[in-house]
Amino acid sequence: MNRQTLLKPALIAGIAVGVLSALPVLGALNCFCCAWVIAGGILAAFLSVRACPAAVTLGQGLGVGLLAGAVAAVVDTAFSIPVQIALTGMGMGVAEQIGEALEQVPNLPPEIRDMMRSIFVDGRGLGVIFLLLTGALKLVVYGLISMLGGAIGVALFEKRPPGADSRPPPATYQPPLNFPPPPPPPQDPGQVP
Amino acid sequence: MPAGLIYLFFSPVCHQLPDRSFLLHGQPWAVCQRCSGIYGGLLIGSLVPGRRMRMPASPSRRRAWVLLFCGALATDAALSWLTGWPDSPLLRFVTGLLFGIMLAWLLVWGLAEWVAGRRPSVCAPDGSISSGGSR
Repeated sequence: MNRQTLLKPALIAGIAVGVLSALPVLGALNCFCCAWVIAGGILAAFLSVRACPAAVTLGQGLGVGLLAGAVAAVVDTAFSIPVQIALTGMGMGVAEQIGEALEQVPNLPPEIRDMMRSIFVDGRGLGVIFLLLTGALKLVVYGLISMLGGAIGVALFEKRPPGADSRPPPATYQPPLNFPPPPPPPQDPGQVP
Repeated sequence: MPAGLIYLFFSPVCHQLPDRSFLLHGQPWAVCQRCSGIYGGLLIGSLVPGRRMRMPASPSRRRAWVLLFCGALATDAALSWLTGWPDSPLLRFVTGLLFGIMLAWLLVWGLAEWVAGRRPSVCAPDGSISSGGSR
């Protein structure tokens, strides 16, 4: 499997998952064991299996999943910025969202909640820092979980036996069939047969 | 403070509903029972020595194993969320545990292949990893 075969599926799956995860309502599906991210890893593995003429191994599935997760984290973070700008226009900026998110974490102790609120919500400028910190966290979490999705995808979709290669064998030289025989070598006139 | 950070760390990947979480000294864990099973399965699966983890040589058998463990978790989760099927904490934990063990199994073999950079390997009874062949 060359880099091109690995990179293209990872980019496609990563961008798709990143955009879906950044959307306000659809992104909440990640709360169920990172469903979007696992699905992204599986999608990347599926695309790799389809694109690669040789059988894709579990190790390659992990690689393509890891790459897809990293792409998804970057796209998610980058896509969150315009979404946040749009939400700010509607009175739902980063600070308000952080405040709502903190309220929705059920097990967070009240003193921690108050402290986080004073840092990230009341100090408005820190909203961007929070976004970037979340992005760094996503890079790790998405990468690891999507890697597992890649392995699941290969296990599910790779039907060829290990080491199988559907590419045609390399072309070798074959002489044309009806080629006339070569002429006999010229005889030396001084030599008596 | 550390407890709050742990809750916050796991909040993007788990719903953390207290009634679906195990309790420790009256406090709910940072992840639900199903996720606890998955992480526990990953831990248990990664502790099993490589020689005990046999990889099915045929892709169809490998797919059947993955489908079995994924299907058990997905069916339990889908039935309880969609139809209100009364699943127990034990069932949630066990389906998560099996899924986690399967994930560890895939992860160990995938990493072994990735690091070694060779073709799919099969574990011999003596623990050695051979390249390619079938059992």
